[in-house]
Amino acid sequence: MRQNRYKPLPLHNKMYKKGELTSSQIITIVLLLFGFGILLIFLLVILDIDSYNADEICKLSVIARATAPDIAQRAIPLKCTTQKICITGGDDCQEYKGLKNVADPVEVKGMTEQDIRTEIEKTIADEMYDCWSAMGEGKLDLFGGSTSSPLAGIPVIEAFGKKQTVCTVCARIKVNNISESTLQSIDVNDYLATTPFPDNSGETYIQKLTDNSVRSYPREFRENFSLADKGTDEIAILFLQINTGDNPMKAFGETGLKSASFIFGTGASVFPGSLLLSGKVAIVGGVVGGSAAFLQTYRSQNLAAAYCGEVQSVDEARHGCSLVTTFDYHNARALKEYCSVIEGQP
Amino acid sequence: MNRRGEDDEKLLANTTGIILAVIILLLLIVGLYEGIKTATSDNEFENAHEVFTALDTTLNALNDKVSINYTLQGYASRSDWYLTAWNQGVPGRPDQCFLENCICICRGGTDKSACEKGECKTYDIDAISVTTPYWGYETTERECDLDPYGNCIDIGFGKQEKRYNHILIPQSFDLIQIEKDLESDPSSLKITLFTDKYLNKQIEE
Repeated sequence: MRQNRYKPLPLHNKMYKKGELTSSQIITIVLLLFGFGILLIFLLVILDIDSYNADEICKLSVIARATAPDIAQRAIPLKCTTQKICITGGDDCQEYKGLKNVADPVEVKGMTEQDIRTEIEKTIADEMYDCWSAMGEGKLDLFGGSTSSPLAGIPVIEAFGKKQTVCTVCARIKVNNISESTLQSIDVNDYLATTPFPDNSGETYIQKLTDNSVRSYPREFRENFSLADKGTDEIAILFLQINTGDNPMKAFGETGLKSASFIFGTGASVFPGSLLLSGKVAIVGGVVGGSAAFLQTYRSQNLAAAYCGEVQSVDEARHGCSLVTTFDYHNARALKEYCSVIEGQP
Repeated sequence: MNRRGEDDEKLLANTTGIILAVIILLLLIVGLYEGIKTATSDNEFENAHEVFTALDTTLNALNDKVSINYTLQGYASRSDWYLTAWNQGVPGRPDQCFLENCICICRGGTDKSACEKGECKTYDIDAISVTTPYWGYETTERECDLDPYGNCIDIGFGKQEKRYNHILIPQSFDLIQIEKDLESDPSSLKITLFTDKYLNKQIEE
């Protein structure tokens, strides 16, 4: 017995000595801890939405909502806060004081009329594109969700179920202390059609907004540009989406779809129906009813990028139309007419 | 000795397993908590606060004499939210108003408890009114025209303009009128919502 105590232990017994870890165990634990550390940091970064800017939070919530199953879709809030942009030739816009998501003012004091015009047109064009892009270019089902889900009682689902338009106000743009003559010379439609998008792709804003399917406006649309409208000092960049049920063409035929008719009404007059209904992105003309041009006063009706076709939904194939456009923010009655419900944060 | 070694081995393996399980469990709990927090965060209060701040900024920027139309941008919500005014001396005022006149944004009603679920702001002005006019039937008294002898000719219940002393925050947009005329009426700050239904009815009348 005594001799045995000093007998050399086999190697494998050495490894099981009390309190000693094997090298493989140590490596495994270190790797696991390291892995979990990375995962923890990743999770904390992902979940720390406070450190994200408003655009990123909005995009994340759009993706989260669009990819959620119907039953859970409504539980995911659309965290898109209306951005407030003041373009000023003097003081800041008082109306935006104390509000959330106010961008740094765009100062145009001392600029030439041409530069001010370009600055305003660029700001609007960029906001239209950002809004369209953040909302999934109209291809994501954002305002759907199951009407049989426990959350179906909330207004947006009911509105969507009734084929009413649901809107998100992506941005408000206000001009302050800018001369009337400068405002009258603004033509966002022309800017969108002729200015290259700032990504060195060589494509114009229109091409970007339409997946390159539209390069210039048809003649009929250009003729409509000359239509005058009432001016305003503040516009809203709106994203609108309507669930058309099965086929957008069918919805087009339904006279009851008042709020949706502008999408088709003007679109059909500008483009052949086949283009609009093929599911491709299209540019459509001004809003029916003479509402809301905006700063491009006396020049043209407002422009919109629209998409009609299948919208991506996790549980079922849905059809709908989406649109990004500008509206006179002071024309509350027109806004109300076209937006049954607003999603997102004011 | 061998048996003790085996026990140690088991203990070691179990300890490692327990540590890993605790780490995984913690991560799951943190993830779940953050997920639930994000999903159920009270956006409605934030939205109401933003609507109220925008209105307050506009009110504070007004001149002494002005009448403006203001676009009230609402939001989709499960609860109804109301704007209402509380003047001095009115019983059951929210505590946030102290002794001042105030405007409140209230959740689910317009009484004190509903307003305390929202927020209030005080204004140094003699009186404030927040109203929504509408056309409704007067049910308490029948109306009558007087004949030449002074007798009442019953013409039934009259339909006349009535007012709610609140504005329901819309789920889309609404137009409200803000009137402030301190020169001729020092007690005046009127915020009025004119619904489409009311305006149409006014045209008919």
